[in-house]
Amino acid sequence: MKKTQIAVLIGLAFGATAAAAQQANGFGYLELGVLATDKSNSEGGKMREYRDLEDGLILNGDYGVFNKNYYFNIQGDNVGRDDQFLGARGGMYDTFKYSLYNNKILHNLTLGAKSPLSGIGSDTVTFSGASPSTNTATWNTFDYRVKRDNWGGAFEWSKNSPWYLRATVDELKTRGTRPLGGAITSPGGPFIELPTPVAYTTSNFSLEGGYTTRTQQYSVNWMQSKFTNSNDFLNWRNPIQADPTLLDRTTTAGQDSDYSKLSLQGVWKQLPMRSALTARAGWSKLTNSFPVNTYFYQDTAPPLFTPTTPNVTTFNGDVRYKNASFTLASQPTKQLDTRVYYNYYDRDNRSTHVIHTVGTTTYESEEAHFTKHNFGVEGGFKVAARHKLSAGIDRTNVKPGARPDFDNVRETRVFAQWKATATDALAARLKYQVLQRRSDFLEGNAGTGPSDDVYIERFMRRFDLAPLNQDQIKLMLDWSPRDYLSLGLEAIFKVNKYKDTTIGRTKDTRDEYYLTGTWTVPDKYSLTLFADFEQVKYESYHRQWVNGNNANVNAAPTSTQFNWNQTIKSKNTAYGGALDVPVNAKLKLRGSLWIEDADGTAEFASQNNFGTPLNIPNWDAYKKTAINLRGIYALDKNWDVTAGLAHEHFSSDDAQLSNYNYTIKTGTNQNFLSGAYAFPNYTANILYLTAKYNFR
Amino acid sequence: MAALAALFAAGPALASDFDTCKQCHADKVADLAKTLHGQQGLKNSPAANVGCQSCHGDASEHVKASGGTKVGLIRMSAKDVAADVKNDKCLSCHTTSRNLAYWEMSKHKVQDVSCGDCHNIHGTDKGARVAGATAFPNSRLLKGPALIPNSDTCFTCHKDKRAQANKPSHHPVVEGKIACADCHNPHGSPTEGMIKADSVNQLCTTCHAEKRGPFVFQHAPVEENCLNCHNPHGTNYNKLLSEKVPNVCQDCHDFSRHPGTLYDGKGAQGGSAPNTRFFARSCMNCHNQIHGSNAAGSSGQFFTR
Repeated sequence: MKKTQIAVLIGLAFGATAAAAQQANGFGYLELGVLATDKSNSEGGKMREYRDLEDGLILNGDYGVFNKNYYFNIQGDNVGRDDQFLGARGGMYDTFKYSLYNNKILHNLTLGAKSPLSGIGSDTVTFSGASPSTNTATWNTFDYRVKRDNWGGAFEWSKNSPWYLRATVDELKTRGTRPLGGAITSPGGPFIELPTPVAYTTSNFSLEGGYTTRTQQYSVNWMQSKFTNSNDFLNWRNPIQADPTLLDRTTTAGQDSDYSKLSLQGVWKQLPMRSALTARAGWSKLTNSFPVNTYFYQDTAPPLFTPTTPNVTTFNGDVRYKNASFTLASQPTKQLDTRVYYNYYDRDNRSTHVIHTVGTTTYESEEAHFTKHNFGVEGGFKVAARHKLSAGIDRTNVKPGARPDFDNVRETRVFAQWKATATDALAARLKYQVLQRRSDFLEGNAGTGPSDDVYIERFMRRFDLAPLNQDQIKLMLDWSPRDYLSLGLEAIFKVNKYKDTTIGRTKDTRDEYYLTGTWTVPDKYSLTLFADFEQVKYESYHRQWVNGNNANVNAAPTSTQFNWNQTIKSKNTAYGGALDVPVNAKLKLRGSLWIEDADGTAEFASQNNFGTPLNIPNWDAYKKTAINLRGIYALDKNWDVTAGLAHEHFSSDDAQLSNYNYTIKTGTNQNFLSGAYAFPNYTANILYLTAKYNFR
Repeated sequence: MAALAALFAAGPALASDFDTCKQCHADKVADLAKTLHGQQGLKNSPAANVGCQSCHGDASEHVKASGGTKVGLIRMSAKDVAADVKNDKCLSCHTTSRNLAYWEMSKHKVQDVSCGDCHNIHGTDKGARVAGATAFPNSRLLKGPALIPNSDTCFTCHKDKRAQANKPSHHPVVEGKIACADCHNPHGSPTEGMIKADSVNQLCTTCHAEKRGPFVFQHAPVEENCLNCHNPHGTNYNKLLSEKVPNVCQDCHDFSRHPGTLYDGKGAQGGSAPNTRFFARSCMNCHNQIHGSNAAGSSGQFFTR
């Protein structure tokens, strides 16, 4: 038994006993047991992606105690394990309250990965000899795994008055190893998967003061966040680099940064026409500072490290955000409710503008910034006691500052909805929404002609800002035809058509159906069934062509320069059920079955069938079956024991990971893979036995 | 610990005027006794006021008629009782909560969601959680047992999100390590989706701070909205991507060299022409810093270092 488990066990038991002796009101449970998992068929660790299923003890507990002045609650889940949660909260009613927690999140990305590199886990990974070994039997084995350890707490003081002061603090430590791609030559040459250390720490502190009554609420909040990354670079030896003393250098994802925010909030309730008005404004700033890199690694000598002569020596990141929101919700009559709102958001990027120069070529940073205005009005009208019609219009204007392709993005969304409560047992909602996005295209004259690569931009419309027509229908039904029987249906149909797009995503559709049903016979059984079906389709159009030759999509196709299109389809089905049977006053049986089946394909067509495109039948298909059986036997009013068996099977078929080879050659180039995400299939059996004491 | 016990000495009893209700609704009253609502000693609790009638209204007609589901009381579970009527009962005590500041303009209020749709007002025993088994589906099918709503509660209505949360690439919501309420405020927020931040990116970088930059070379759609490429509720594809790589990249990038190349089945490892831009992590095999890079020159601009 681990130390944490012992400590929590003793604490809970002692606290509960002591509280009981003092006749305070206490409720909760303490559960101790054992867990055993058959992991023999779970090579890549997908089974344990977020779960610590190692054999051993399991300890859970939850205990709350309160009287007329104070309350206190302590909770522990999976205590002592890598996915532990510990929490405590308490306080004195109307005077103060506090909370503390520790949440550990385990993320196993790939277990049993392999690499010819040494130094895994550090910021320098390398190999010995002239080139990495291709004999995987000699490689190092390791796990791609990230652990998050989050501690935090809060304290709030109000002392039985409308005023309050609240302070929160938390720290998130993220440690582990994740995969990173490393291009050996560029562009598009071979690559090596690099185990990259993760050592991030984020510390947050916030202070909020406020005043709250039945009619008004005001608050001021200050927040400060500091992010530190212990590894500014990953140093690695490039396999084409014969000199073992020379290391390539890869920048990690993020530099240390500071974020601070001030926000104000006001709420006014019980205004005329049963109105409530809220206003919120915020100012925040994200900064960092670090030396600008002065060279990049080049795969052909000399020089191996090409100087880029940046215009500055230090990069000062400085992004400022402003936001404001106003919302007025009213109910002028019993039949009518309205909502009017306005939201403003601005990202102002004042970071250093960096220009790297190599020969006559410059590489300039782009400081992404934008301003967004959003406003709308909605209304709902009860046309009869059991029917309500709603409608609304929403408008968003975006000025995307650093985008060379679009400006002045305007989105208009209009919806209408009918909601009916035909009886006390039936509720239905039908909503239709149309969205129209328009934007000013700036690349209509891009490029000097078809031989200029930039010419392709005339035809490209990036889907995030491209003109779009969207239709969406949602239907929801909730029906309880009789006591203890409830049925639910949700159906969603959505179509996005990118109306001006030649190159890029042209259309996508979603059809979704979700059914649930629950039938309970009191004291006999409760049965829940569900069935889901989703069908998603993405369509896109592209052009393959040769550098500096013909970027014109309207040109006659050749074997090396042609247009092609792609349709990606994905069908997802899920169904299952759960049955709870109280066999007698002491024994309850619970069982469930959950099955998922997804089938994805990618279909291609090209002009004159150039490139002889080959469809992909396994553009992610997977099957998952989960069975869970559990028996709970009550020994007396306090003690019960639980025995359970869980069986789970997962199989995936992904064209990008099938026939996996760690040392595959592409042409004459040698690639070095590490198995990242490659082996997700598993069959798992989990057996557990616990004893639980219920404090009553 | 002894001091703690002393602090909680002399616990209260259930309000005596519950006795009438208890004659027919013993289970409800027994459950209520385990919650703050059921404590007579708490001056603001329903128990310290008029008991069940604090929420359900005047019970005299109901009692006179010897019960009956539609006699006299506000039935919190009935669909034909307006949500406003039910919620007004809760708000009569809870309206000063700072967590409810945005309730009046929240989507849930507009859609006539009532407090009891998510909160189990009477309370029940908290369910035990067993490692491993917790993450299995049957517990997720059952309504969340706690007074505080968990993700199961949200999935009752948001069935599409339940389906997404169970897909192979997902945040650990179904494993119970994070909850919907970690990102969303079900009581309302001025931000679309009722999220707990001023923008999607500010929300995501709360936990993924390594992606917040600022970077020397920024990827504009990344800075604008994480949702351009990711679906945080779950997808079939690694990294919560809404499409696979290279598809999600090619929807925006077409140029000479390789962005516009037809990457089809031949590029798989077992295909006739294995292609480093197709198999394994595809574009990410080389463009590994897609959220932003601080490298120099082309390595930074093309997010390869």
